[in-house]
Amino acid sequence: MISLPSMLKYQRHLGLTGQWLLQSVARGNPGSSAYFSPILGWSGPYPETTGYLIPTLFALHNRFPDHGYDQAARHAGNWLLDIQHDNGAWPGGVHRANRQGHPSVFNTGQVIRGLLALDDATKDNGWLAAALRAAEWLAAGVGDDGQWQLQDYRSANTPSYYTYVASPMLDVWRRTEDRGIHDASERVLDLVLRRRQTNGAFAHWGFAEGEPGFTHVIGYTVAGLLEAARLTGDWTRYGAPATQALETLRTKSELNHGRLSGAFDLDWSETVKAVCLTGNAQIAICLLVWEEQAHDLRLVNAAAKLMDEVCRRQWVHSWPKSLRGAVGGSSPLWGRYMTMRYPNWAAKYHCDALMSLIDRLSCEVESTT
Amino acid sequence: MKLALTAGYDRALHAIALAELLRRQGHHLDPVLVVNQITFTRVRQTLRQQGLTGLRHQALRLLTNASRHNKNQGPSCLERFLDNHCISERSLKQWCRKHHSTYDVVTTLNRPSAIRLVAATAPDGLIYAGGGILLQPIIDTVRGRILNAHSGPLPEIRGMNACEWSVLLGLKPTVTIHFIDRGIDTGPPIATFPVRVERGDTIERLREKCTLRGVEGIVQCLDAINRPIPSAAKVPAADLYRQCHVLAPVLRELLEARLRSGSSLDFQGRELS
Repeated sequence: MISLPSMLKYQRHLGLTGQWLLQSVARGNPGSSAYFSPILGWSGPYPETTGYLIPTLFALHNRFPDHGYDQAARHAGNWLLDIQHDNGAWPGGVHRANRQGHPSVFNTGQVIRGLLALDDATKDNGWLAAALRAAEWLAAGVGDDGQWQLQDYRSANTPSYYTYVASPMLDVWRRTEDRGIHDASERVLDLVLRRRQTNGAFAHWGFAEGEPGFTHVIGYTVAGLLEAARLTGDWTRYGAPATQALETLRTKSELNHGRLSGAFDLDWSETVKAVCLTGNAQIAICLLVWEEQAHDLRLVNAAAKLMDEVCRRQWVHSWPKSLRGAVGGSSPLWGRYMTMRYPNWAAKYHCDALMSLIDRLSCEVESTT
Repeated sequence: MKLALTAGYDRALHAIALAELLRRQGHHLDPVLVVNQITFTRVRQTLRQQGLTGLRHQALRLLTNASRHNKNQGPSCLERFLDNHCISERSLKQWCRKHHSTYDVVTTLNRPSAIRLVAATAPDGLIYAGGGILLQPIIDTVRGRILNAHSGPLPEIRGMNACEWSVLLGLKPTVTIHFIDRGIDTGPPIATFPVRVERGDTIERLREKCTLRGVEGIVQCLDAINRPIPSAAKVPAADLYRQCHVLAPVLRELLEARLRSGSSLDFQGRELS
């Protein structure tokens, strides 16, 4: 098979990021350290991102079977079970051994992703049972209007990026056929769809009310809808409404050679000059998911440019070891999103996007030969 | 006819070919506007978007003449075309001096000074052979009578790298002669000219073939400048088709691999969005 030089480059970057993720698990032991700061060093383990890191670790294991990714995933999963609250939720924020923490809607949703990946990989019922308890807790908190009743994180209203909580709930429903979970997640998704503006943006997509959305949370919002479309098989209802936002982001990114501005207002004006690298990778993933429907290499082109930009900004030097393979929150590093830090979720989405891109390009290369 | 001509740079061989062929048909070209590629804004924009590597690449391209082929491959299609037609000039400035046409270098074609220069000669139409996006004032100055050769089928393949995208998206490479309007390649098409792709073609060669076909196409379609421009209702809905942008390096490599192997070159009609 023909191997394209850029695909080999993507493979190299993937290997580096994967190794950095293993470092983050070793340092955050037993979870994955939230971020590395050149000033403060490694942070404590972060349940939310440790949860959604697990599917990535299994996907990396499929490509690099001897690197210990699957062990890291199981280890992280066991820790998440240990710290699950009795009501099924997980706490918000970075984990502290002497503090239980408040239950968090968003974090619980992300941990479910990890448990479902463990369920797929091990076929052990314990993971699904824990995920079901968590999803039941989430479903019980959703009101008739689709809002979570308890105040969560920085907003009194349920932010639009909580579509990324609704989609793992749908995944639990698909496995357990629990109608209550399905209906609750549908109410959340419908609430966000009602917030869709005529220009394709979604109101309340920022971390706090009235704030512009970093591409990181815009990526969550759109990805949640695309996942819901896949899980329900209803592209028209959930997937199609997200495409206008994606088309706008594609155009903006293409015109800047993959340097997508870090945050956008509802009128799509750029509010942050720095690139949010996590957002770049998330939008690339969304474009590739859309491309499965649209069959249009122009979407792959935009995704490749977004990822080229992230790869260009990745720390690839062998010293210091803690930075090798790390992906910054922002580019430049002093940008507003995760200032001067290298979050584990930037690395997670970098890996996910590179794997999707390599797989998609491999199909094209195969058809060429 | 009295015609104005634009070009993206002074040594644009296709623009020289166009100018000379049109002159030989009895048309008068005045003014010839060439866009200056080395401006502070342009350098800053390139640096910001493509970094130092991009800037170096652009500078090399300008210095070595964009349409010149690799020396190992011999003269390019365009150079051969010029030689075959006994066109000795290799610079628009040189051509203008020889044929007493006004030659001006502008930072953008949309500057009032450029528009004034066009308006002063009151041309029957403008031949666009590069120089960036045209805004409404200059379009209005020539009453919309601007001919462009677009290296892809319209309305399906709008935007940049059109001949490359045609091959990648499985459409037969075609040059479309069309009027320019406010949108990106959304103006009414006049005629199409197929371009033959052969196994072993490179991207550069493919682009040159399209450029050459465009030169021939504009010369053939010049009379359209005097005909009424089709109304908007008659133009296929360009907005239905996604705009194309510059190829990412990996897709460029993929296209090169396809051209080398000759696979995916059996173009089928397919629907795009």
